[in-house]
Parts: sequence; structure tokens; C-alpha cells
Amino acid sequence: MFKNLNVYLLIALFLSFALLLCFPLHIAAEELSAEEIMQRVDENEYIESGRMEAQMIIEDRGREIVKEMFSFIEGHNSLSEFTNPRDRGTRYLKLDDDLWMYFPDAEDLVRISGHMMREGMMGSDFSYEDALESQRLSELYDFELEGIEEINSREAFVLSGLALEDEDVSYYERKIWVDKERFVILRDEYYSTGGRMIKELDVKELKEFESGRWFPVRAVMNDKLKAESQTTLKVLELEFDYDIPEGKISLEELQ
Amino acid sequence: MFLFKLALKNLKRRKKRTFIMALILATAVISFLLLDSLMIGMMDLSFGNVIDFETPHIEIAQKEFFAEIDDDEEPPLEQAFIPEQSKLAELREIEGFRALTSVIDFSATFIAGRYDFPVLVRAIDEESFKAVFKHHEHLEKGEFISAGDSGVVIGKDLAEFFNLDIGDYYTLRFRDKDNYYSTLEGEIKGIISTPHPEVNQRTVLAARDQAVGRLAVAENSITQLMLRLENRDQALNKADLLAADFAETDFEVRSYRDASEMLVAIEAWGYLETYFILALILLVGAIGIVNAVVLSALERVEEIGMMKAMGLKEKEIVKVFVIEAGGIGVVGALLGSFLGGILNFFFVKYGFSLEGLWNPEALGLPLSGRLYGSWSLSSFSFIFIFVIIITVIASIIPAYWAARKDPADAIHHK
Repeated sequence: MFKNLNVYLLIALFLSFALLLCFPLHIAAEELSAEEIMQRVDENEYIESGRMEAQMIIEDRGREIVKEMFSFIEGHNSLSEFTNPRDRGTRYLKLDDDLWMYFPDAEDLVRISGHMMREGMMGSDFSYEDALESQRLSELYDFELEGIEEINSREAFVLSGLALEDEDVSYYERKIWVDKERFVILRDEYYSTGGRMIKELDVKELKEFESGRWFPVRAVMNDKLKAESQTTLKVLELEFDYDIPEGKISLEELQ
Repeated sequence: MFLFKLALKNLKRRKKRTFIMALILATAVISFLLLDSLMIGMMDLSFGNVIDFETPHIEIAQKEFFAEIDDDEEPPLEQAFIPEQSKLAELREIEGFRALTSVIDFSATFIAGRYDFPVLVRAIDEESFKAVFKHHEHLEKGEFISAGDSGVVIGKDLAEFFNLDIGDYYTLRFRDKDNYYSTLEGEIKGIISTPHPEVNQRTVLAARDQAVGRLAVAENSITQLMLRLENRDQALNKADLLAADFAETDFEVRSYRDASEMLVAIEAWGYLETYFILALILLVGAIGIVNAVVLSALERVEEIGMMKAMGLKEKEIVKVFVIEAGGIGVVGALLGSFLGGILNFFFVKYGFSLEGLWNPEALGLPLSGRLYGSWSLSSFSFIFIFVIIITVIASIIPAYWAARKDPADAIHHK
């Protein structure tokens, strides 16, 4: 009797171990809490310092407007300059919660505030407020894991987050899909307090960088309140841990 | 009396010159009276439009609310408050009170189709709002909003910009009190066409009960209390009294004039312009008077000599010339006031339409509709006295020049 029991236990142990060996990542990932998932997302997507070259493709009633820019990013602060002929020299400076714009033709500096903050940056579906959001998502929202879904042929965690009190964020609620293996956001839905979806960001392409860090390099932003509205952001070049010269991201440099 | 009669006789002797000079002065008087009437009319129309569609006679809000608006910031929802019933009762008791309404003003982005546009949303209680404002009288299409309606009333320019009609869908995107994005959506219920371009362009009226839930403010919260009194003059007086009453509180009381700083500045510039033009015309008149006195003196050199030989003193001769000039002034002022009065009568009675004269939207001023002139007794009195004074002053120096002529030389000057 006992002999048989020992055999059964041994088999069960073996099977459990085999199962553990077969799906180690799977089980490990599924056991992660929402907080841990978001921390891993932030590790990938939050740029401590970097230099980025990007393209913004605005689709407006059948027309396609392409804008090119490069940015220096240092945590919460950044300096971006447009390089396409039409907007060449137009610069944006973000210092914490403030945003300035420099118009080269007028040689004029404008602080963006009030209703302008809600408007699309350079006519795109990214508002200036969206551009200001550069903190780690885990610091802004309290996320809960809702489940796992397949999105763009990838397994993803589905998380919903409510804005943390005392954090200055534009959207009360976020629903995000995080790639289970790469810990990068694949889709981000932005909701109002009344539960209406305001915007949707769909990541179309990811890239693995040298350090093994995955980062979205092509994403499409849709303003859900407007018809026929779509902006694609393409990252052409991205250097993490870029050594930004001192004073580069400053008001003096902007002018 | 003798000198007066002599001066009058001299004026009659040179009727043509007297008439021409009086006509020049009358032109100045007419120009001033009509310009003044136009200015008062324009200001009446502009302030009237402000009172009927933007800020009524008196507005009460938290001090910080006004401070942020003055800094060109958006209406701050965190300054919303719940009015005390006792205070409301007190306001209803003030002399000349006609109506009171409470509103919640907030900034939003109006979205329809592919387009969006920044607007000011005024969340209102229909009944009390209608008693204070006149938007409902300018409804061009559809209906006015009522409690429970998710629809909004928009201005005709906004409707044209978005190519919207009654029943079309809209979305308003805004920040609630906690600074999160929120939305209001529904159908366009009414389109208004008011004489206030700002209202036609960028004001959206929404039902208060619908907006409150989305703004994250308490149910009875408001941002401004708005009062309509019997008339504007009373309003200015009461606003001062109420301001003194509220001085020790967190609230501020503003009259329609306080809320229209730009108009008040334009009014001041307008009057400055009127007086500048008046000064120019009167300068021409004064030169004419000097000329008239000099000519008159040259023509009457022998007469002056004779008068001096007969014992008339220099001072008395000066008086004759000054009275003559004053006489021309009186005739000019009377003629100008009379003709100006007739022209102003038609201006006051019939006015003229400003449509097509300029684009009020481009001007950004509440100056559209029909412009009427205005009667101002003080303006008539002022210009009448002023013209006489100017003519008298202008004649003094040439009169002395004439009076100082040597009697012997004067008689034998030929």
C-alpha cells in the first residue's frame, strides 16, 4: 500500500517538475502582480536619458503630413526640434510640467498653457498634454491585472489603471495591454471620468535594442472623439543613456 | 449796454462775414455733437450686448476666480462654491432687483467630425437664465435647452464653422474639477444668432444638471452669481455697495463695466478722439475769429481812431471786439446746436445698421446690430459754452492790437 503511494508521489513530483521545466517563463510571468508588470514596463519605456530621431505621420482627411524631429530626453525634461522643411527650427522644450515652443520665423518664445494644452501638437493626435506625460506610468496610476489576451498575435497582460490621487494626470483611467514576454505596451486606451474612450495608442512595431531592451518604434495614436483622425509616430533612431551636454535642455538653448 | 449795442450793430453790418464764421463754428459744434452721440450710442450698444449676453449688471464670484480670468487663464472650477440661501435672499432684496441666476463657466474643446475648437461652456438653469439674459430671444433654429437635456445651444458662427445643424452630434472635452478629462456629448438642440460675436463664435450653453455630474463638483456648486437690475446706472451704484458688503469675504463683486475692461478702455480712447477732433475744428474756428477781428479792425481803423478821439478807452474798444467775437460764437453755437439737434434726432430715432460696415468677429467687440444715437444735455451745454469761450479768448489779442492804435494815426492812416 505504502509502496504504491510512494510511487504515485514520485510520479506526481516528476510531472510537476517536468511541467515547471516546460513552462518556466509562462508561470513566472503569470504570477507577476500588476505593480511588478508595470515596473518592468517602465524599465523598458521610461527613458532616463536619450537621443531620438522620429517621424510623425499625420493623416488628415486623406492627406498625409510628415513631420520629422529629433529629441533629447532627460527624465521628465526634453527638447525637441522639427527638421522637416515646413517646420524646420520649431522647437519644444519641456521642463517638468511646463512646455514652451519656439517659432524660428518670429523668433518668438511661447509658453503653452490653457486650452492650447488640449490641442494637437503640430496638428497631430498627440496633444501637448500627452507630450507632457513623461513620468513612469506606475507612479501615476494604480493598475490592476484583468487577464491575458492575444493582441497583434502576441500574448499580453491586460491591465486597467485608475489615476492616483494627487498625481496630475489628464486621463482618469487607462487600459493597457502589455506584451507578456517583452514588457512593452502594445495598446493603450485613455478614458475620461465618465468612462468614454478619448484616445487609443496602438503599437505596431517593437524593436530590441543592444541592451536587450524592447521599445515601441511604430505606434498609431487615434483621437477617438474625432473622425478620420490618426497619427503614426515612427522612431527612426534611438540611443539610450545618451550623454546630453549640460544646458542643452534649457530655456536659453531653446532660444 | 452802449458797447453791446455797438458790437451787435457791427455784426449786422458785416452779415456775410459773421455768417461764414458762425458756420465754421457751427460745423465744429455739429461734428462734436454727432461724434459724441455716436460714441455714446456705440458704448450703449456694446455694453448692452455685454449685459444681455455675457455679464449682466452685477456678477459675484470667488476672488481667485476673477483673478485667474484676468490673467487670461481658463475659468477655474476649483473656485466653484455653493451659495448660501440667506445671501441669495439678501441679493433678491436689493433695490432695483429684477432677476438672479447662477452659472458654471468652464473651458472645453468642442468636437464635431474631424474638427475641434476651444469654447467657453456656460452651464445654466433655463428659467432663471432666461430672466437674466436674452439668448433665447435670438434663437435662430431649434429649441432652447431645458433641465435634463444632453443637448446644447451654440452660436451660429460655431455652427457654420463645423457645418452643424439641429440634431447633429457634438462632444465637449474638458478638464473636471480634479483635472481629469471628462466629456459631455449629445445633439445640437438650438442655434442662436446674437449681436455679441463672442457668443456666436465660442459660447456653448448646456443644462446645468447634465454638466455638474461630469465636472466633479458638488450638485449645487456654481462659479458665478449673476444679477440683473432695472437699469445700468443703478447697477454701478449697487455694485459698489455690494462690493463694500463683500469686502471682508472671499468673494468679489463686479459690475458689467468691471467685466469689460477692453470696452472701458475703448470708451476712454473714443472720447479722447472726439475731443481731439473737436480741438482741431475749434482751432480752425479760433484762427477764423482772429482773422475776422483783425480784418474788422483794419476796416475800421478810422472808426477806432474816432472812438478813441471821442473818449472811448482802450478797454472799452477791446470789449466791443470781444463782444463781437462772442456774438459770432453765440450764433455759431446756436446754429450748430440746432442743426446738430435735428441730425441727431434722426440718428436717435432711426439709427443705422452696422451690418456690412465691419466684421465684429474680426474686431472681437460686441458691436453689431443697429446703432442708435443718444441725447446728452451735458454735451449740448458743454459745446455751447465752450465755443463762446474759445471765440472770446481768440479775439482778445487781436482786439488789443486794434485798440492800441494811435487815434491821430488811425484817423489819418490813408
